[in-house]
Amino acid sequence: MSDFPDLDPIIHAPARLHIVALLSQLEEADFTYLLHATGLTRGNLSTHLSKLEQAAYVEIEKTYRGKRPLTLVRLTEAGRRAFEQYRQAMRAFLG
Amino acid sequence: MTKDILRDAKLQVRRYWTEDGLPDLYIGLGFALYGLLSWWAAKDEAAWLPFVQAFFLPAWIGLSVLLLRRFKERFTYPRTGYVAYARPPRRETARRVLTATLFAVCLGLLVLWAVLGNPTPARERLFALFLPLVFAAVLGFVAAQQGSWRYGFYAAVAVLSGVAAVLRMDALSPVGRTAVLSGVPVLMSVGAVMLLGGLWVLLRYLRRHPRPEETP
Repeated sequence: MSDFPDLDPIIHAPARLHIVALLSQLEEADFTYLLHATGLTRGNLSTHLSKLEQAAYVEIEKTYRGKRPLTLVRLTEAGRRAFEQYRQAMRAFLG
Repeated sequence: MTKDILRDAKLQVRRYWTEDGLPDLYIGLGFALYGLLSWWAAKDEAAWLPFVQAFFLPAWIGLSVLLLRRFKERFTYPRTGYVAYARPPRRETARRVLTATLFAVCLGLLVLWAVLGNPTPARERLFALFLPLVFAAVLGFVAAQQGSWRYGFYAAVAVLSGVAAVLRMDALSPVGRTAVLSGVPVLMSVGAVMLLGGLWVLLRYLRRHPRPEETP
């Protein structure tokens, strides 16, 4: 058990890992896409995004497309680094 | 589980581009129109046709960025969300350009060999089979990248239409043979199947994801 890697608890939660993994493949995505892709409820997704934003792993931009409000989410440099470290730790642990 | 989430997320992002069926419709329409042009060129010796053919595909590919974005803004983004894909690193872009150039050079050499050399029936058959195999390879690659059985099916149609055309080549008129050598059967059949597949997927997508109401 002592070999178990020291994993980032912000990223390790399955829902947040899913969000970060999706964002790592993208430049940016809107809130609707993350809802569709993760299957989370609006409230749940908002909570997870807030936690990621507090950790400075994502940045959230509220804007408009036409008359429609648009919430854009993108992974920050710190978020990408943290995700890469998490992946490497998991890869090393799982072999 | 973590490994699954990471792998699935990658696949999910790749699949999202074709989830609405719009790329199938656009590519299928392009193939079908180019197939019609090639069929026309095989029948008619109008001097302007080769020019239209030469410009059609680059224009269609160039327009895809603009048109697909417009269609996605209208149909997809309001329903299941907007994404901007990360740009590949420069080295990856250079690798892709190099591969495409090498492929174009090989294709050009093959055309020269088949057309300007001594066109025996065996060479013609081999040449007629080459284009469907290229189509199948590209569509098969997309299928593998996205884990998409739909693109795998398109690849199978490309192979089958090519083989069927080559088997019937001896019984065809000179116009028919020229059409086969120009890739008309594979363009038309893959184009038609992609159009139908794209339409089916788009209708299913629109039914599953109704447009949300406008906020006042």
